[in-house]
Amino acid sequence: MRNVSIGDSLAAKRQLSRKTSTTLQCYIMLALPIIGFFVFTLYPILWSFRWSLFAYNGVAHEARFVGLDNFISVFTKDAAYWTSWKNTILFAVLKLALEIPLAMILALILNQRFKLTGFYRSVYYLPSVVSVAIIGLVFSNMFNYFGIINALLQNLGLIAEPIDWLADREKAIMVIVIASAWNTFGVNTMYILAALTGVPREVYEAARLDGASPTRTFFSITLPLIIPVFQTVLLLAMLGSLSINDFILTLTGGGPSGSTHSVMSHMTRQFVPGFTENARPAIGYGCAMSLTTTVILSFITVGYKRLANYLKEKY
Amino acid sequence: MKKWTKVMAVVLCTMLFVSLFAGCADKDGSNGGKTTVSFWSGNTHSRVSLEQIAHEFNETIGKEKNIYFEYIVKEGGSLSQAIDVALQNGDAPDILGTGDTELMIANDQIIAIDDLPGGPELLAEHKDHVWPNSNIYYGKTYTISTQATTQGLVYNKDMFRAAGLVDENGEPTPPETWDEVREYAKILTNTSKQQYGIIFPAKWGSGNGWFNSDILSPAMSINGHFGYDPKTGKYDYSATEEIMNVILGIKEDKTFFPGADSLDNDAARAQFAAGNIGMKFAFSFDAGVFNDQFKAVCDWGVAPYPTLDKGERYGLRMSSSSALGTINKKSVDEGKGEAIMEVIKYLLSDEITLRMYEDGVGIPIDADIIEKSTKTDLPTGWEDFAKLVAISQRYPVTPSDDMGSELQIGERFVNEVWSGQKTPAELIADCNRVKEEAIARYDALHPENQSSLYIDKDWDPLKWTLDDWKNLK
Repeated sequence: MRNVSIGDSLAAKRQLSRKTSTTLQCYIMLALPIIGFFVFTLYPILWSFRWSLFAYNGVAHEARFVGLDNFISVFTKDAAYWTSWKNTILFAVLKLALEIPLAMILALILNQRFKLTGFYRSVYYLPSVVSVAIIGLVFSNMFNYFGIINALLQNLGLIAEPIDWLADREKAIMVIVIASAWNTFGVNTMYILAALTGVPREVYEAARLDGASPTRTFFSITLPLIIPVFQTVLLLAMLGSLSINDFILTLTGGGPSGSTHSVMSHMTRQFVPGFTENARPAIGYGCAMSLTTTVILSFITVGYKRLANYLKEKY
Repeated sequence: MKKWTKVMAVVLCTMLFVSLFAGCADKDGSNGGKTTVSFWSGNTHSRVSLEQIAHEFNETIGKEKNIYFEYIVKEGGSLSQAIDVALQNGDAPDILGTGDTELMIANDQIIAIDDLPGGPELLAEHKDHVWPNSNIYYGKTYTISTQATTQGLVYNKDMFRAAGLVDENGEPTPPETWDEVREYAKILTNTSKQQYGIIFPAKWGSGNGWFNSDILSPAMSINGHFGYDPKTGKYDYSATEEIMNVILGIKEDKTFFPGADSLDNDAARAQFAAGNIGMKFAFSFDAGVFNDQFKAVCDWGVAPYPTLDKGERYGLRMSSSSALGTINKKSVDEGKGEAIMEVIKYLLSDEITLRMYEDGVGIPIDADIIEKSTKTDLPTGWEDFAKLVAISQRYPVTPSDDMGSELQIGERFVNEVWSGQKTPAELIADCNRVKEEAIARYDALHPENQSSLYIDKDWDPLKWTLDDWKNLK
């Protein structure tokens, strides 16, 4: 009896030791991303919040406390900022309208079992691994006045004279939307394809036996079954579109006449040292603007999630 | 297998351990017992010349005074960032080729030349080569500018000859007034050959680079200042109005290279070098660009900025630059002050300044030094840009301001005037007001650095005539 109780005690100790060891390992593994969060996310946010209350131009001893003046200026004096929001929402709507249906159609096609699906998946995914700056430069060259697009259109007889694509706001926006959609449609295709592969084939068989048309099958079976993943894909695509920056800077530089600046490109161009022409950019004001932008994006995200949940319950 | 695994583990650990000592090399003062003075630069264009100059120093003054001058060009990345990191790590060079001077002063990372042995004597020698907010901060001098960047109009001589824009000797005649610029642009444009009279890099610096280069800089020869009038202490952009009207006229005539809104300065320079463009406004460093980076296929020349009429005009805009950078305070604290001063005196001497000019590296800010040159095979355009020094003036110092969310005039020109939303007069009136408010805002927050300190009622800009330029040629 005594030996059994010692044995139990030792076993219990060993079990506790293993549990402690496992717990410790988990904490150590979690430590890195948590430290990363504090260093690369939380600290910059707090840094930004601090300087948003100052007139700060990068030289610490020149900083002066101004309270909420920067935030008040963002809401009452900065027309360019709110214009950039209009541009950003326009980009996002146009880009999603082009990219998501395209990604869905391609995912549906790739979900069929035919030869070379693997090859096509790779090809469609490739644009997403190319640097955004390179894509911007390439499209800028392609849509140049003397670029290949104009040459092609002239050779086909569709235009008599070259078009200055980036000198007109609507055309410039169209070029940015095409370039941006080209960059990211492959990723969304893969996400939707992954969701589609999770739909049991028997469900489609049953629908076919019941005489459902492909369209009816898509809307009544496919879409409802992939909605949870599709909502996340749409949210990520929407946030990515609202954060558009590099394309604007490399393709149009915000032109023509500053009419294609998105929120991010406007802030980068005006307030980020190294990107702005100002020797002493108003970094404090830029911080206030970026915090305002963060709050607005948060509202958009929360609003989207609530709408998605509502539709999910209703549908 | 276990034995081999252990052996591999020991070898790898040893390699890791040894590599920990890689950073422990004795970088300082151990070139055969000499004191090493290191200088980091990002200027690849001047590398060959400066390395040779450093070698000659080491063979002469360096041997005599036991100093080794180490000139290093940092390639592939931002020199400014490399210096930032090195300053944080404590292994920055003795002379820093670039950096935010005010920030480095605030961080106590650099030392004034005043505080170096022999510094006051050197500053007395170069008293005409230092300016507030460029070399002088908080009453002390941190760099000395013995070099200049001049600006002017580059023109395609082949296109001018083909268009008949030549004098009685058949030499191309660049425009001397803004009306001539517009007229010549029309004459030089031939869309069937894809040739255009002039090129505008409207995307450059979101419009600010373009405006400063092609409009605000030429305006200095009209009113004697660069936007800020030091005599009144106020901003006055009125001299840019006529120039803006001419540029809008060129836009209306469609005699500029299409796609201006998507062109930055590199793309514009490449087009000029390709021989399709009649005229472009440029800086003296573009001589290196058109000789090396984008080698011009056409015969090209340099002319002063045009002005409103052919009479007397004010000096062209010129900026100052330094052959060296700022001095690392830590190096001086470690006892290298005298050695660093020897290198500084050598680099700032008239002989080396002339040498750098003849090597195509830097234009002396003193026209007298340029005149001493006897070299005839200088790169194309280099000598002409250098000759502009005699009719140029360093722009006046401007007070600090707080623009907040307001855009600079260049960006507003592209957004509002180039796009047709406003007239130049409306823009000028608004930008004058915005600048006044920005200065007032800064003054309110910084009573110790009032804008009134920058007023110079005795500001007397240089004057010259076209005959002065022709005599120089």
